[in-house]
Amino acid sequence: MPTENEVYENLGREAVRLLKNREGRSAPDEVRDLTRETMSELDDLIEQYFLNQKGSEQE
Amino acid sequence: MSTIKQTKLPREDELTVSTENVGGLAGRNVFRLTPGLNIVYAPNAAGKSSFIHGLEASIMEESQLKNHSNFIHTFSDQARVEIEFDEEKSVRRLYRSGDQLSVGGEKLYPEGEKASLFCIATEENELLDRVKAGRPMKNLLLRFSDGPFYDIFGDYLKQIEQESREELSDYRDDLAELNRLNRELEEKQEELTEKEREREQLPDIDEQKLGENKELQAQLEGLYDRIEKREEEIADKENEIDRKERELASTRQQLKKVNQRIERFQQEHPHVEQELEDMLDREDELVNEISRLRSTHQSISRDLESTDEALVEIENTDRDTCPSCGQEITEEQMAQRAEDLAQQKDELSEDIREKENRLDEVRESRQELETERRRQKDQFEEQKKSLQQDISRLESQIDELKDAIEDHREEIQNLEDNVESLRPNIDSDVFDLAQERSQIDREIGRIDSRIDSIQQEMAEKEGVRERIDDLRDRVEFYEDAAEFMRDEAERLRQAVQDMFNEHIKEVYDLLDFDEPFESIQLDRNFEIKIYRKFQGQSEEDSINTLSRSEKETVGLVLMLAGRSAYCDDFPFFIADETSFYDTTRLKRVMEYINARVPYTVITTLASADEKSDLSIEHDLDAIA
Repeated sequence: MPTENEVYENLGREAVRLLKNREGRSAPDEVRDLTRETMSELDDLIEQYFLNQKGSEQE
Repeated sequence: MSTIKQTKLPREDELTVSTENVGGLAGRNVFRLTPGLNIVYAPNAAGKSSFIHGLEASIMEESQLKNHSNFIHTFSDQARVEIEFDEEKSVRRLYRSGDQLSVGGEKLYPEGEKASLFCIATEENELLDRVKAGRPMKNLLLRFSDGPFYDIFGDYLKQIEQESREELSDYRDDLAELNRLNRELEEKQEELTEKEREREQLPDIDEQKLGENKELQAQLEGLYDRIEKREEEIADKENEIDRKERELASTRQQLKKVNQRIERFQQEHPHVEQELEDMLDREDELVNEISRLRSTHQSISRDLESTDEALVEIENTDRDTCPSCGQEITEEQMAQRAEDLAQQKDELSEDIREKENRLDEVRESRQELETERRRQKDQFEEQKKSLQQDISRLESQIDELKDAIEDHREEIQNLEDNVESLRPNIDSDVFDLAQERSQIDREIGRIDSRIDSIQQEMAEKEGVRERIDDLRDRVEFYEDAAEFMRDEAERLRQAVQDMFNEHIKEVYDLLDFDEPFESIQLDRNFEIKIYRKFQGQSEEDSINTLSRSEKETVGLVLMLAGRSAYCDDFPFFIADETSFYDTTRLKRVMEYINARVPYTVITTLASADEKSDLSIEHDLDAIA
């Protein structure tokens, strides 16, 4: 079972990859205003990690 | 076609760079670069910078090239750069599109933005420009780090944590109501026990006397039954009103939330409109680019057609003159021209297809966004309408229930008047006892009914505790995750700062300058700090106190640090116009670069007396 830190590490890595892919540029200054599509994908990702962690704790 | 990272670029072989209508270099020009130092040596306006623009065009990202319409010769609408190495060829094509450029072919190196920032020292290099102007470096040097993305994600997590806290607060109100109902239930149960005890303690009724008053009693009991029935109905209706009022309050709350969502949606409106407008602009740009490419395509097709016809005529007549313009031309030259035109036509077709695909993608994204926005708007409106209808229905139902209760109360009053008129005719003790018993029975009935209603309400709120627990877990998760992302952003920022400082120190030590400053460092905010030795002590100074030549050196040191940190596999270091560098420093820098980079390309100015055209030399001392 991954530790809490590993869960956040993986979540962060996937979110950063998603932000880079979705916004399609390497200059982070320009991606402050996230599009709704990106926000929706981030929500799905966070939900998936939250439920996984909750499931692991319950086990 | 290939890029350097996909194939192994020979680092000890010659490279051939062919430019066609690039910048000031009209027509086709071929240059050979050898490993080591290549000095593009020429007087003013002989094409030194244009040659550098050709190299830049084969490296830069499309977004970087967009505004460089000066990369195409004034009298042409397209340019081309070919780099040949080890039987492989990289081709980049530039087309004029209004004031801007559109690009075809593939770039030579996959990470063109990094390579152009850290390995191409021109007047337009942003890093050199910022060093010279003493402007902040932070965003530029963090551009290739993931740190700022972690910051953005941390902020987003903080935002949803805040939203969950607000939701938690709403559920806590429900929990307070649940606790209140629990207390009321306990009170009602105690009250019920008390009433049942009271009823048990009542003396028995004298049945004989009761029999004597049987008929009267029957009438009275009939009246009591009706009164009881009406009172029960009133209690039921009051409970019903309670339920409806709670439902009404909750529906109003929902309506408030929908209105807030609509308000947020409308506030978001300009942002989405801007997104749509940008997409439409991009579509227009692409349509224009495609239209210009098609027009060029048609023109080349016509040229090709007439060249083919001319070729046939030359073959048939066996003469070395062009049948259209009368200029001397051999059959082989005409055939080569036809072949070049056919190749250009194919390449244009490929670029047109690519732009058309891109246009389809942009169009599809825009239509998706529009549909999604329309769907959301309709959904909000529908929710609002349905909630307003619910509110109106509930208000009307509550009014009807209140009217019914009022009617029942009037009826009870009439029934009680009847009871009062019958009472003097019966035995008052028996009657009082029977009435007291009946009164207690009615109260027990009312308490029972309230207990049922409380239990029903508590059942409706059964999921609240679970939802609160879930939201508490979420808030904790979001909070910890946001903190982790912020720490990660800070860690990465620190890593980039350390990495730059480490490479700056390494480059600076190896260059071994006899400078007035002993070291250069980036501070926490990526500001450049210069440390001077003064009376044996190290003193901090700002970049703004340096001379132009010293700033140029610091800029080059930063570029070389970035090159070795981010793109040390990129085989070029290119510097345009080195004539204003201090000769000793330039030589030291070139020695350093030569030892690490396969191909160094610099341009330097020759006087018009000594040279009239452009050549590539290799000995810096001879030129100096």
